Amino acid sequence: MRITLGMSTDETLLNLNDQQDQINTLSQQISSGKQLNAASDNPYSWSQAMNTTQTLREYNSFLSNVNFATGWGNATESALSQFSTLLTQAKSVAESATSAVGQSQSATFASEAGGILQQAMVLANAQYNGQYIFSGTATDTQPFSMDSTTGDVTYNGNSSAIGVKTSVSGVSGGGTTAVNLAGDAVFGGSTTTAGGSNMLKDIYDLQQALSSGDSAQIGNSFTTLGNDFNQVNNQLTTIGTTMSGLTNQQTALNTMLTNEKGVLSNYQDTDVAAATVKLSTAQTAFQAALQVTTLLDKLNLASIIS
Amino acid sequence: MASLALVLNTAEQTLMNTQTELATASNNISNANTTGYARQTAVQVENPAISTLHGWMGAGASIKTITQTRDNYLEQQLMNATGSDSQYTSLASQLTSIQATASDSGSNGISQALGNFFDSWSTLAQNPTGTSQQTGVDSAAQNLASSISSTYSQLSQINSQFSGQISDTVDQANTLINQISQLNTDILKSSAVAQPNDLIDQRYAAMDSLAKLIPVSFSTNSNGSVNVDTVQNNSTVNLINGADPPTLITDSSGFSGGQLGGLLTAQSDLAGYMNQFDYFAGTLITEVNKVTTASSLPDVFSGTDASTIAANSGFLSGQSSDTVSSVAQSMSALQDQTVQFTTDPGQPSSTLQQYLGSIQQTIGADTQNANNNQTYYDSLKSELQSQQQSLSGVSIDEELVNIMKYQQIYQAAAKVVQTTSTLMNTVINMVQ
Repeated sequence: MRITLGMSTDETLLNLNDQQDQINTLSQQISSGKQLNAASDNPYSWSQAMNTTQTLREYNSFLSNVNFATGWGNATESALSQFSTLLTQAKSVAESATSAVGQSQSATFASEAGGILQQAMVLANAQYNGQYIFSGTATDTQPFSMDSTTGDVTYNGNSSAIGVKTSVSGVSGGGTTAVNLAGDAVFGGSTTTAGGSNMLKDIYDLQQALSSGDSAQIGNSFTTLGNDFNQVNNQLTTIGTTMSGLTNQQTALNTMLTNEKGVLSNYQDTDVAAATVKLSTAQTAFQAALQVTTLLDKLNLASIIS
Repeated sequence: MASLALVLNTAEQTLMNTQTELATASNNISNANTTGYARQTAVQVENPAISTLHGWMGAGASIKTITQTRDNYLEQQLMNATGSDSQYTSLASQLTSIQATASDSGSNGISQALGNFFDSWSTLAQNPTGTSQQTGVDSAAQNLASSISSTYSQLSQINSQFSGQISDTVDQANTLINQISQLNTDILKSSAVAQPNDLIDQRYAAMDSLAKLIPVSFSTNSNGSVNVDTVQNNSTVNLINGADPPTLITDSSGFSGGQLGGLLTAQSDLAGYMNQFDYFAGTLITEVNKVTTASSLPDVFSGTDASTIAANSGFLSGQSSDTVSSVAQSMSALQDQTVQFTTDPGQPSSTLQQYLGSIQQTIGADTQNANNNQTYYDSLKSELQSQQQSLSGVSIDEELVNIMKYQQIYQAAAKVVQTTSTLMNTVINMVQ
């Protein structure tokens, strides 16, 4: 084959270009740590990496929701268990009052019951992160208020559930965990409505019975508060179940996050060891090509004859 | 005496011949790097012999013509490869910039805005009455809408530049067609005298340039002129027929090769991507508004496609905590739901995010394909170019060797002149 000037320069240029391109790509992959720098590098992996990134985001949002629900659940649990303690105290006050005699003592009992009522009001209006935990979705509204003269309780919240997404939903609305217990379901709704009963009102009634010394009413209150105590403990069990579910979900989410991160890394991260080896091979080849080019440059008749 | 004069004549012609040959070699070296140049050779033939008493006596040699070395078949192959190469070079460069504009890796671009939008609803579900959470939803919706519409408007901008580039390319092609046709006429005129190598080189260079713009096939007529055809809408269209006035390109559509073909493909590809963004935006608007409408809330998004999408503000204001809570829950659930992209025929239902992924995959695959083709045609072109250069190109070494040969012949002929002159002197002195 005749080798001519145009040929050798064109081919040399193309080859040098190719090798430089290869070195450029590899060094870009190593320095960025990513083997995908544009969709065209590997369209399928690129779109999978994209979806995986968004899946990770969604899992992180689930995790944040689980943490939120756990915090909320803890606040609910502690409010309810304190409330249950208060009910026990109220019961024992009622018990002591039935066996005690004398005006001065009943005044003491009444004021003790008053203290319990105050604390109970605080617990029923407990907040988590500035949100009322027992007012349904109306978390900016204080759920319970009491008319100090009649003892009538008004429930200002609603019965709706605050739902947060804690897992992928298969069907519409699925994967949602209800975070809250609505106040009316736990403590009872407004007592002004027909058939209304309320634990706070029950404590108020005890206090009234104690100050008036109405022993029949005190006996009634003792029974009612016993029922209330059972009711609160049932709610505590419900919360406990939800909480253990959340803990499981948290563990699962953490595992899934680790998995997906591995998947994502497989799609988009550079295998640094392999890329480095390839780079050094490409460099050697490039150096050799450069050397041959300068060598060939000297290999012409014009430089030899004089 | 007659023979001595003949020797002198022959030697003189040899000196002239070698000068022509040297000039040709020098011209070759001088044009070694000229585009379209094919190496030239001075063709030397034997002079008719002279009849003498002793028989036919040779009478030296003379330069008959100066030819050039070309292979039309190889050149046609090379033009085809050149056309495909520049088609995919132009397509790849267009698609690369489109790809960069529409880039979405999942952690930036529309995907991220969509993710933030869903996250904001998820946060709102935690605190339906929270003012900052509601503002968060508002701004995430604004952000999503502007991210879609700005991507779309950037793509529209690229799209609007196509028509200018296409008409520029057609103008360039028409200029070259005129030039080739003019060269055809000039070549016909000059051929009466001798083969006009320089004009043929220029014509080849012009055809090569034309092949970069549009698909070109050519055939050489016996009188030295060429016919040039192109392919438009899958049928052959004659552009130049010998020295006849050329047919210029008036309709820029229907070319599938050369730079023009690359631009047309990129244009139609881009239109497809823009449609996909429209389908995405349309479905997003419908699905999101469906959720709010179900709870009698105002629409979140207005508009119908990627260019008109805009987020309304205050769609949550004055709503009961109950409504907000249930909308927030349904909206966070929307990210996992597969929806039917009814406007995109043949597209299986997928989640909104997956559809964005499929757009990226389409763009990526087209770009990758263009890049691969470019690499392939680059090396094919280079291979054919070396074959063509191997035949038509100038080898400096070869020319130098030839020059040394001509130098020796010239020296020898000069020696003959000197010797003959001495002989003649001897003869003249003999007479004295």
